[in-house]
Amino acid sequence: MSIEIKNINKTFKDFRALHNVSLDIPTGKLVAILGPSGCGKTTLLRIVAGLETPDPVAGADIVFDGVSASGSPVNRRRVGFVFQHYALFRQMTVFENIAFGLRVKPRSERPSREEIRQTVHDLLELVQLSRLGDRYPDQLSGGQRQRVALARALAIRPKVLLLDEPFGALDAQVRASLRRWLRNLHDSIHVTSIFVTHDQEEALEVADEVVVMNKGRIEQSGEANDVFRHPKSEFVMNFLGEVNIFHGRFEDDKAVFGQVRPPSGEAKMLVRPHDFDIRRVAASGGIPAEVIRVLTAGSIVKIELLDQQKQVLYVHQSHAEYGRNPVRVLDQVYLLPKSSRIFRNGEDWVGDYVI
Amino acid sequence: MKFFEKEHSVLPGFRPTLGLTLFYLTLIVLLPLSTLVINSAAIGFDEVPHYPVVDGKVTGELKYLPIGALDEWTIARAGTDLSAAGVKALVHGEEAEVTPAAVEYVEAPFGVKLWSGICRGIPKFWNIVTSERVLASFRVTFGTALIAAFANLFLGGVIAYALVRIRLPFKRIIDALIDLPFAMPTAICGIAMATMYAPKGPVGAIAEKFGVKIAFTPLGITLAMIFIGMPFVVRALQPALEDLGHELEDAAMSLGASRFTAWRKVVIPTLSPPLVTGFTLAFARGLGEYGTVIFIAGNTPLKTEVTSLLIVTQLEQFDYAGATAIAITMLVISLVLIFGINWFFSRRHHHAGG
Repeated sequence: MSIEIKNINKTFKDFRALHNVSLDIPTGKLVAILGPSGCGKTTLLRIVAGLETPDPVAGADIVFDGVSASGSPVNRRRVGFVFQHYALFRQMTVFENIAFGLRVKPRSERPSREEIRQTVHDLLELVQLSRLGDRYPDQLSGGQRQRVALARALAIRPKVLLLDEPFGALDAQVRASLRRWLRNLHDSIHVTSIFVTHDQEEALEVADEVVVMNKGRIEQSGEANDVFRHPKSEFVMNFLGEVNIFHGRFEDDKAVFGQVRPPSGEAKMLVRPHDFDIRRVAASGGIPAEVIRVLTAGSIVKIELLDQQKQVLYVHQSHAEYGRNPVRVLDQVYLLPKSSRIFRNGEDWVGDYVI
Repeated sequence: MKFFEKEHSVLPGFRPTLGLTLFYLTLIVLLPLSTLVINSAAIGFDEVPHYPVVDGKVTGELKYLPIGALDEWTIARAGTDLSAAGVKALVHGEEAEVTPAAVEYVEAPFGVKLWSGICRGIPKFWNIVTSERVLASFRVTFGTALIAAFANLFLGGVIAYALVRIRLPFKRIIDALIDLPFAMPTAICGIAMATMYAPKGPVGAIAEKFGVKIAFTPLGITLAMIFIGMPFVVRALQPALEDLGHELEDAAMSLGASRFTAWRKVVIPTLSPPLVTGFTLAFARGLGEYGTVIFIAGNTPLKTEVTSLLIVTQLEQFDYAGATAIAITMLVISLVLIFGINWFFSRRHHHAGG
């Protein structure tokens, strides 16, 4: 089931939450909508579900598989919605929670008692909670509750699955294992899914495609790897992973990142921590810096340095790379960007630069 | 120095709070209630057993003398030896030395008095509380209070919903008005309601045209009880409804439920603890209400007389024992009902409490 989001706007009182958002999601894909809090990602998801109505603008529409869903209310859209805080019905057992969507169907469509029991049983197996059917939500851990919520959403055989920060309320370890589990689950059931998060690592790890949103607009969308490698704007690059930012100005069509920090630089160079070479001797384009800290405990070596503007820079190296040229605290070194991006007023800029 | 070190308790302030709770419970709740029991226990002791003395000899049979009239006779203490030349006895209430022949009665021993008091008290108590008038007052009181509490559950629920979910003009004023029945002296509410709903009052006159009598009927009593019970339901429900938010409703509806089904199967069951609290409080308040009800009830015995009024009537006739007997029965029935309601719902929804 494909989803087309067409020209959606949403205004709350005098706050414009969404500006002309359009997006196509192909059948069977797992798409992550990524953005800082307040960027409108949850509002967009709620509009897709039918929990909010978009502003009545010409051409605004939500289309499932070529059929407009705008006219149908949330309980007719057959969307599975998973909430950040689970929204489980606490006076019902796990079994009753999952069966809820089947039991409220109109009498003519309602499966028999035995069919419901079988469906719930299968779903409990799918989310690996077979033995917890008669527990109450209060008796489960956060990770288990979210899996119950997912099973409940899947029980109605949804056309699309919408997940609103599904792992937001869980601790780091449970999150990591649940997102791997969600990825595997999606690979086995292939229901078109949209998944909202503010955690870039989560989005890049789980999703087929990533949509980065900022201030109610889509900044960039595409395959996770593409978006990470080729960010279109400063915001996207900054949001997807750690960066070092250098401020500069434009002179004669060249970006200049000087020794003196300009009062308000209009040029910005962004370099990811793993895109630096560390040199012992001065090289053209090298940034002089002093090592202030070396962290070798972990899968990579993290080095913190101070440049001449007293700005802290971060460099990541593999242990092998570090072993060839180990630096110590107080060493004076030169950082050579292997790859960098320059942005002019937030937009991509290509040209020469001088450091 | 160990002496000055304070042990850190897991429950800080456990002792003072426990002490204060017990103090409050005994002094303000249990002691006054116990006087109720003591007072009603006097029911069997209005006549005291005595042995009549005939020709200077104690006869075996017991005669009951009214407690207020004992000074009309010459009464010797229990166990007095009447064969002595002179005996001590109460003559018209004053102790004096008399001849045995002058003694009319000998007091029965303490044990006999106590036993006869209990034996005579229980049937008397039973007769009082099962008299037609008292039973009728129970029917009126419990019936109207129950209907009023159910009406409040619905009306209070709607008002709480409106206050939490709907954007109303003058919401703050409406919110403040809810508490008015708490703040106003109940007699004022009663007079206001009686004026309004009396056959010649503005609303009563209209109702009269449709053949409905409000004032001086159980309907009027129910209205008064709805008025004073409403804030309990609204105030119990409001914060719970605010906390609940939209998520459960959204979840139920995304699973295909209509809004009505979502409320019936998910929201209302989740809200059952505050609903039960509000219902119980409104019901209990209705049972005990006096000030508001008496003005509108008409107070016709057997028809529109509530129990609290009946108790006051008994007191005005100086029948303290009768008044407390009714009061105790009322207390016991109310306690059983309220415990029953709470037990029933806490058993059914013990998982909903979190």
